[in-house]
Amino acid sequence: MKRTFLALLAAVWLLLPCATDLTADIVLIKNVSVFQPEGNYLRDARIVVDGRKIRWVGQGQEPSGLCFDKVIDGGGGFVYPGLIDAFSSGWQKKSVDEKAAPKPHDKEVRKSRAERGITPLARSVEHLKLSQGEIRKAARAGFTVVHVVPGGGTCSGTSAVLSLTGTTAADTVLVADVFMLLRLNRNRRDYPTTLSSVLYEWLQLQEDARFHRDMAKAQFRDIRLRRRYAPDLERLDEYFRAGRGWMIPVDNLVEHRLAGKWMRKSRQTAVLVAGPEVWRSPVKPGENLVLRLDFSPDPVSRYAQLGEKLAGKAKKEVYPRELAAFLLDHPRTCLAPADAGDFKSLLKNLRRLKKNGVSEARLINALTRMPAALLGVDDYVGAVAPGRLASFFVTDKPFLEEKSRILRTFIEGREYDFSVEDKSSKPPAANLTGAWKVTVTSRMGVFELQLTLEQEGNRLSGRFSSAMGTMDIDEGRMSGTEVSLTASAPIGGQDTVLAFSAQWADGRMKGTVSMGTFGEAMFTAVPEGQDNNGQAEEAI
Amino acid sequence: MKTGALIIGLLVLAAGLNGRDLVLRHGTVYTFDRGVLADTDLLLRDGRIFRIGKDLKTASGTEEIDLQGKAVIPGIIDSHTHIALLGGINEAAENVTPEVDMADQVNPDDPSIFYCLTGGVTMVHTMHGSANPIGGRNVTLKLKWGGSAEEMIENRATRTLKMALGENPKRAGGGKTLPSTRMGVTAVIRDALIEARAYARKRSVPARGKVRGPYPPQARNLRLEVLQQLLKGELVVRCHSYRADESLQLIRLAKEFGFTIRAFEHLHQAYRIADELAAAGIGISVFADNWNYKTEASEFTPFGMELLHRKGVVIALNSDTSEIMRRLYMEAGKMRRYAGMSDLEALKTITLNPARLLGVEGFAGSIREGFDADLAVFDGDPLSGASKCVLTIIEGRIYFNREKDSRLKESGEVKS
Amino acid sequence: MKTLGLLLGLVFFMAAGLQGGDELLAIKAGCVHTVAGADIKEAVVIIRDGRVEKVLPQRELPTGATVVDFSGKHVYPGLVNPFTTLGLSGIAMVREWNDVREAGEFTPRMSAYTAFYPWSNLIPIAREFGTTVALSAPMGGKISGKAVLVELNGWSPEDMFLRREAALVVNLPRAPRRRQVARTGEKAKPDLTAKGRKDVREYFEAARRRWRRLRDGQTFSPNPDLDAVAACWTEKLPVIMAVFSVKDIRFAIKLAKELELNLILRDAYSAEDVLDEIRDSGHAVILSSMYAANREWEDGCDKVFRLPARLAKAGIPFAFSHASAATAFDLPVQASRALAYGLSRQKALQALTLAPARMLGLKHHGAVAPGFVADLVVTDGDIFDSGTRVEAVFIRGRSIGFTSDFQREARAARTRNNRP
Repeated sequence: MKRTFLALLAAVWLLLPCATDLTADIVLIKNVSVFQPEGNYLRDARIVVDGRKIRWVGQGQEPSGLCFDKVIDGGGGFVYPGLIDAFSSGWQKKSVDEKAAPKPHDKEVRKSRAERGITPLARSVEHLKLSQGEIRKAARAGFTVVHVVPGGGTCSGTSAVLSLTGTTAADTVLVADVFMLLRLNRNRRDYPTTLSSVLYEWLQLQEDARFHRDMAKAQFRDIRLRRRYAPDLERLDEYFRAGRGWMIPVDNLVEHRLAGKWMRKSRQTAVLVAGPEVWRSPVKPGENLVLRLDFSPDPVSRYAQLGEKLAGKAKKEVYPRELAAFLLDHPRTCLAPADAGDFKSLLKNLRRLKKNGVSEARLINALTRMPAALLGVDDYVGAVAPGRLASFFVTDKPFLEEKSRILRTFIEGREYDFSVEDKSSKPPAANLTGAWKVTVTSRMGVFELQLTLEQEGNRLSGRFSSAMGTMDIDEGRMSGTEVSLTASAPIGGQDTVLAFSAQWADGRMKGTVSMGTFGEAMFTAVPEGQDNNGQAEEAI
Repeated sequence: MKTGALIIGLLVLAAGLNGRDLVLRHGTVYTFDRGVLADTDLLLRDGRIFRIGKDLKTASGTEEIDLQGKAVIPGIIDSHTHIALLGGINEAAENVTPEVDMADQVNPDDPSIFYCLTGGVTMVHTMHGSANPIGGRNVTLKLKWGGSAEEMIENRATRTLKMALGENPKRAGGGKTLPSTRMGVTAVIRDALIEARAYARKRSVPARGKVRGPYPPQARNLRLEVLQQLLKGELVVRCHSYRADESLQLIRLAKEFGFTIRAFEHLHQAYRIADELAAAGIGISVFADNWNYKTEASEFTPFGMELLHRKGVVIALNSDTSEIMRRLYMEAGKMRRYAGMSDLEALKTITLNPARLLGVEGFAGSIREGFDADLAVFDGDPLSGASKCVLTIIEGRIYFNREKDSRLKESGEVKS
Repeated sequence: MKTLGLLLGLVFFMAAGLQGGDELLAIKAGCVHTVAGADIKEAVVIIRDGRVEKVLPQRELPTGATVVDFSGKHVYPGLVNPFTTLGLSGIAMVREWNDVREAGEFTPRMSAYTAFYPWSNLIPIAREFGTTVALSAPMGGKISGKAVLVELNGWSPEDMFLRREAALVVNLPRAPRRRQVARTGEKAKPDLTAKGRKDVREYFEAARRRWRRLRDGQTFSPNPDLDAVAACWTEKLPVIMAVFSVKDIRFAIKLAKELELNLILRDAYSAEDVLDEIRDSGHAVILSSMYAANREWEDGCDKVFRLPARLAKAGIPFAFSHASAATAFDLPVQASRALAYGLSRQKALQALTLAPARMLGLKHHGAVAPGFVADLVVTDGDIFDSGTRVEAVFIRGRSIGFTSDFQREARAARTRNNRP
């Protein structure tokens, strides 16, 4: 039976070239209102998506001579450009935290730059870790593009812009090496351990980089005077000479002031990624800024320290009001979600800003067009217009109104359909936690898999495993006796979504699995250790 | 209207605008040049003390406060604290870190600033910690609660560099790395100063590659540039020290390299070297009688202040904690007992003397016409624990008003 | 001028060669603060056999008495510090010389008198500034052990002990500060106060059950800890319990009522919210240092300092204390901070002398009145004033020589002589 499944895979592999043509669909989306950057909507509009790009957007009839593979009725919904997460520390492999035993720190010896957290050669593109589940979660919130920044020390490396099309770097990276990140992170034992030392570390790096460059020009006969090549200093020197390309996250007033001081002393321009305290700092109106939208006062802020009443009042009234005024005075401020992955609070905060007087257009632009311009990808994303990537989402009501829902999200043409989700599901009939033996019957034969499930309320999670490998379950749901699971497997280099839907009865599950374009099969699942009484169903 | 009671006057002052005149009437004013003046008025204009006198005439509409005999002293200056800083007060990774500057890390949101105001403190010298033989630079702040860091930093004060001797720098080594003894501490300081002396600013790389002189080209070293400022006299040293002998060693180093020590911090054994300190013109910034918390603080007598005062050493009292700073006036009162000082001389230890150490005695630390209007009002003897500060004014603006602020706290607001 | 007065006073002592004890001593003073009654101006204090015989308002000098002239000076009763670590701790950071905190949460069998060090250099200093009686207490864990009541004069321990086991020390845990997280960046510490109260209650109940059964004749295997607690019921030993929040105070009052404890509340940071309950319970309060700050912004900057006046107004007996041994001499100036917030001098003085003495069961200490022990402090001014100097200290009618480290070091420095 295993051999037959291998044969199936071989067949798929052979058929692959034909399969790729299937993704170059031409899709028509009609009966929608398209958001325009000026603030108005294009009513009764239609969008033509050709493969990964938008071919045409307009009102009235689309150009003739197009043969549509799929026509979607938007149902009077609203289309917005895919949101851009302008500052995300996620989507990467977490670096291993050293928990070595504390050694007596030798104050006379300074560790190398890399050991102290100065790693300008690190690149986010080299540490990506994407999973379909995360992508789906981002798509559900309307995010299609993320700006991934490296975590780490004082100079942590360069960031990258990803378009969430797949789980491999080759698919997703739009631009690699966008900004060089400088962080006001203090080391615990090695220099620098105070904020002021971080500032001087940066200034001294500038001097060292300049000296490194000068020494390359000089020609010494004495071999001992020749410089030792330092690629990290060379990379830094490029950025220092350009004078820009830096990004500095700042959390509170002190850090903001320090970053400004560095920019003045070193004559560099940096994009600051600021927290909610930014309205208390002096910021020039023309300055580029990314504001992480979060109304909780920073723990060291006066508002947080001077009593619960004041902190609550700041969160509910003062900060939304002041940040709204700040946004109106500073037109070049982009917005970003507060934490990597915390999208729900973003929507709530956007609505609060709208209540305090910021226009919808300004808010949507701050999440789409302006970050695209900042990141240099405004030729690809940031607006729903011909020639751009087909990354946008459709809502049933204007996005910033209460109780709006995202019905569909398109990421470079690939559709994520959220409209059929039933929010109110029935309570599960049983607890399916445990190990199961799954038997899949298809035209090609019978195949067995192991399934481990964990259940929490309605949600199921776990993995399928076989001799060939494991597949994580992206989404699982049990409502009453209906069970549905989705997993994605890279079959032939492409992510194919396997959707299992079954009925649970008497301790076993029975249902169908659809393998995307490869058709459907039947499957049964019994708890591990049980005898599979019933024979596999007859093939359809 | 001259008949305003304190409450009415304060309600009028709720605007608290700069640039408006403010007159304090019928106060007992402690001046150092004219003694204690009873029933005297103070006219404050444009952030300065404009006039001191009896029954001053003012334009109508001037805000008035009737002090009803309360004591007015110069705003207290605390010359050794660690408040209002964020991001680490000790660069503990290396032994010599003069490039660190506390002025970069000023945190205007620290509630300790407000607590200082409740004790009548208007200016603080907030410092780097004492983990390194040569620490970082310190900063002088005026406690304008509600303002930004730029507004608080007092740019007219002398810039100071923190050094530390004794147990604290030794402790970080753990017995395994330099410095582990007092010899090591002095050696580390000396090594750094020798390097600074030898450091030349421009070591640019010659185009043809021919190197002249004994030194190879060097990158610009920002750390040594700060030490060069010290050797040139643009920075003065404030050195944390407890034992008299290690202080004498630093005085010797200062003579060798030509830098200035402005004051020793804590120096519990100062009374043993009163003559040397007086001869070198070095002051001390100390506790009145807090001692015995460390081994090097275990040999002490507060009655030694008498000898120091007699020899003319500048004695400033400091807090070094966020608790003592609220009661510096009580500590100053103790100097009457320990050093035999009069009331005004004891008051100087928390006003004029720290001002001298910080280089601000030209405009702060005493009540004189033309000086900054930094004042504290007490409801009794300003040196006694039986009175408390009721009003604190910085540059003519009220930053603490005991009656009004207790009401604000109940409503959950923050002042300004 | 002041130094001259001090010098004259000392000269009188040296010349007179006073021994006290069995002689008749007459101390002339400008003002005697009796505490038991009103202040008496231009008085004479007659001391016989180490006790005050009478305080005469006129200058009637009995015959055969050795006269000491402190005209123009003030006489106070010797101060009583009802919670300190004198004799148990030396240099704070040096663990070897510190016997204050034993390991373990429940160690009632620890007795401070077994660790009291009479030759500590801090004792003469405290004495020279007016403290004559002190309760030296252990402080580790939840039930720390038993404190010792000492008179601050004597050579060997037995000379100094007024009572070997004077009180049982209990400490409820303190809630972590809310805003601490911001400063250190650490996670907020868990709040263990409820568990602490529960553990303390269970321990006392267990001790009481055991005591009852032992009393009724049952025998058990020995348990020195629980048996040590039994003194709370056999001798009515005072239980000094450190309480901080309102819940702690209510818990302590309830526990004392149910288990018949002779309770004294210590610190009582939140007492001003439950003044009526404390008054109705009849328990006394030992205040922690007035050199303390409010813990949370909402409490208000003068939270600690306004409490004594409110306790006085509510009629709750209270006393000042100073726990740190090195600065225990500063007790009167520390207490003076409460005067700024509405406490009268009379009440403040009582809280330094008579109130702590009574709380700890001393019937003849804390006042200058007939029958009381002749512990006296002679100053050149108001004892609460930080400019006042102490001219002389009497303990049981004997004058104390001023030979502490403070005096010795100052003398040596004046002459720049290492071995004066």
